[in-house]
Amino acid sequence: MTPAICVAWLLSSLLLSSVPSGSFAQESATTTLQKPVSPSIPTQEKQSGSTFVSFETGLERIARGGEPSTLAELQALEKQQEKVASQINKVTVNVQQSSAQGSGVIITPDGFVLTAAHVAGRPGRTAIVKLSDGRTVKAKTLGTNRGMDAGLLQITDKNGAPWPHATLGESKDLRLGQWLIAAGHPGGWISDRPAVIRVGRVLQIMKSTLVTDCALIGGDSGGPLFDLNGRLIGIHSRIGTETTDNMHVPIDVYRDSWDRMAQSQSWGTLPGFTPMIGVEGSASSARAEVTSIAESGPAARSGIRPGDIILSYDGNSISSFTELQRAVEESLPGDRVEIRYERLGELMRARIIVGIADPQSAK
Amino acid sequence: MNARRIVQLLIAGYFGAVFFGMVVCPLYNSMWIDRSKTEDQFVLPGRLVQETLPQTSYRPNFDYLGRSPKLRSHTAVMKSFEQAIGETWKSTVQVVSTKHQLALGLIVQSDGWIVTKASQLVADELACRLSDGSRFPATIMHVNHELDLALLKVNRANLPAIQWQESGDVHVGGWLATTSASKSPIGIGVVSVGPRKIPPSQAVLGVRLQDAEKEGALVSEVVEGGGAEKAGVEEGDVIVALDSFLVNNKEALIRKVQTLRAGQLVTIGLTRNNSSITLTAQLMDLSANLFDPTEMEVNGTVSARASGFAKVFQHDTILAPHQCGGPIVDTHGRVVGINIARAGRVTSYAIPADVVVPAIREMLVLTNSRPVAEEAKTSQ
Repeated sequence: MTPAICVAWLLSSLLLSSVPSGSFAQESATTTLQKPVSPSIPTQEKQSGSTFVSFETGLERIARGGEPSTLAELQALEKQQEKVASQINKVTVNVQQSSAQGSGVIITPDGFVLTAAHVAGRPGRTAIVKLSDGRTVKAKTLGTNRGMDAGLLQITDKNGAPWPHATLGESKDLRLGQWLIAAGHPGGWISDRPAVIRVGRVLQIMKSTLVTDCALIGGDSGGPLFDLNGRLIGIHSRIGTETTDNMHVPIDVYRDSWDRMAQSQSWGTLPGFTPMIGVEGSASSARAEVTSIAESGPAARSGIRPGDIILSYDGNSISSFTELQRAVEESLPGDRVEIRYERLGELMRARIIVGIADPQSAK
Repeated sequence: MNARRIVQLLIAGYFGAVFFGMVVCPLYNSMWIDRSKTEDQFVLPGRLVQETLPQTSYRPNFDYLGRSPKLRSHTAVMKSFEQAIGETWKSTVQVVSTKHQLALGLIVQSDGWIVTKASQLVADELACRLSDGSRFPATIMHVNHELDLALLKVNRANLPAIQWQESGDVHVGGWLATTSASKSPIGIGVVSVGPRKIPPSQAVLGVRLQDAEKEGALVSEVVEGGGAEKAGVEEGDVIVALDSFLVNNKEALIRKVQTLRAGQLVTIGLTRNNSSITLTAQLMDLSANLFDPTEMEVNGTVSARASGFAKVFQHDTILAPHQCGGPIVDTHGRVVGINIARAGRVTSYAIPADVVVPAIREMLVLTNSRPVAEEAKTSQ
């Protein structure tokens, strides 16, 4: 693994990242509230986008979620998969933001990119988007619906537009057993490797999550999930231990969240992924004084001790413990954050990797 | 497996590494150095330690109720694959030790010549179990280290040799079936990435080291699932020799291991409680993410040798390391390659037919196997 590769594991950008973080200029979210060009996610205008492919003959039953029972049906399904696979590489991108790497998919000619909230990070930041042909372009992070793990970026480089983009489907039309094609950049960007293709089926359909057996791993987050017609129906989000535990954000979530995300709003917390740094303090205190520290938590490990007064968190100044709480809530597990604090009148700083609050442990 | 304990252990090890300047054997230290450089930009009270996130990050609470049984490997789908693979399963063998299956293999010449994945053959006695259920002792006749392929010989004639196709082209998104020595394939998947080179990653022993008081390298931690652990290396052992190389200190051992290849077997000479012990360990790929428990858990078991291939295609068939070494077949029944490694949750590698066929021919020539099939062809 070269130092240039850091890996965004499915729901966290922890681990082995040796890219110096903090190298991006940090803008305040409020200064970047300019209105995006496209007012809303494009609605199903049949063959808009370049990934749509029509059905092979003899696929009707399989298209509804059935199994190929003859060799001819199996080969027809295969042909369809190959056609979709050949279309989706050009719209699948690698996304690098802060110390994390994930994937994404371009959905409009003017360069809107859907990804996972935990890949997009916070609004108003610069992100790097790598296209399938190796071109590297700049993008700006827009809003995130963190509760659903949906995130949005827009490519800001004008050179190269109109961008190749995916045809959009609707996740409400999905059926159990339907065949799907997943793409992404598992393990981060690898120069001589195009988007990695996987095939699986819909195993569970929920309003917030699709579960499939398209096997995913770190770096795939934010990558696209297509149906057999090459229509985008989901975005990769997270995994469980079993290879059949792969979770995706349904495309309709992006439709519902579009207005807020396009306005660079960030909201919600994904259940089970509450960020924490392991400090406690009093809300009534005039300053953000740490009264106790979770043993071996992120703060403890970076040397913060009871009695320290937090002055800033990730570049934002902090004047009360409540403000600190809010700032931590805004960050994501795995984020590397700089903290400035005061100890016995001396100014100190530390870097913290934001952890996940253990749902089992009582507060 | 007590995952929490492992996490704690590794975190503790990490602390140890920071404070005592220990180095993870062997290349891990270079990543490490990169990281400390990054941290050195800041003057930190107590220094910073990279956190391993708790395992809960990969464990959302699943509601398995309501989960459809319509997996891609559904019985009905596998039935249609049985039609696709034709007779290839009859040319597939299980390579076994006295205890368990080590790999799959394929019959490359009818008079008892079989090819399999070389680095899987860590056993005192080898045998091949054929599709008719019969079982024969096997001998390693030749190893191609570049491709990690071994040529075996069993004492048996008139075996069904594998039928190669002229063109073993694969198409991204197209189906592949991995056969075993029975009618139904043991796994299916699709081509994820076309043929490319996978550069070698660093081989590791799977220990963390400190300098010993006198000569040698002190094992301060044995990584679970690594080659050292499987060989029986214990915390507190002092490694004094690796093959014929005498280990003066930690650095020397690390440098030595860096010159070796994943999958390779090494003899470790060590002292434990004043007695000398010799063990045999297999080096593993660092790409196996040996040092991160969460990674290990989601990736499952990977091949000891999972990198360093001149040309392989990548597919998403879920295989275990002992299911590599055998043929992989497309939906037209063509043998398009040999599965050569399981490299992670989403990654299996196969060497394509256009590389494997000439390599097998060469191995047969080198062992003077008098290729009957070849002779028959030229005489026609």
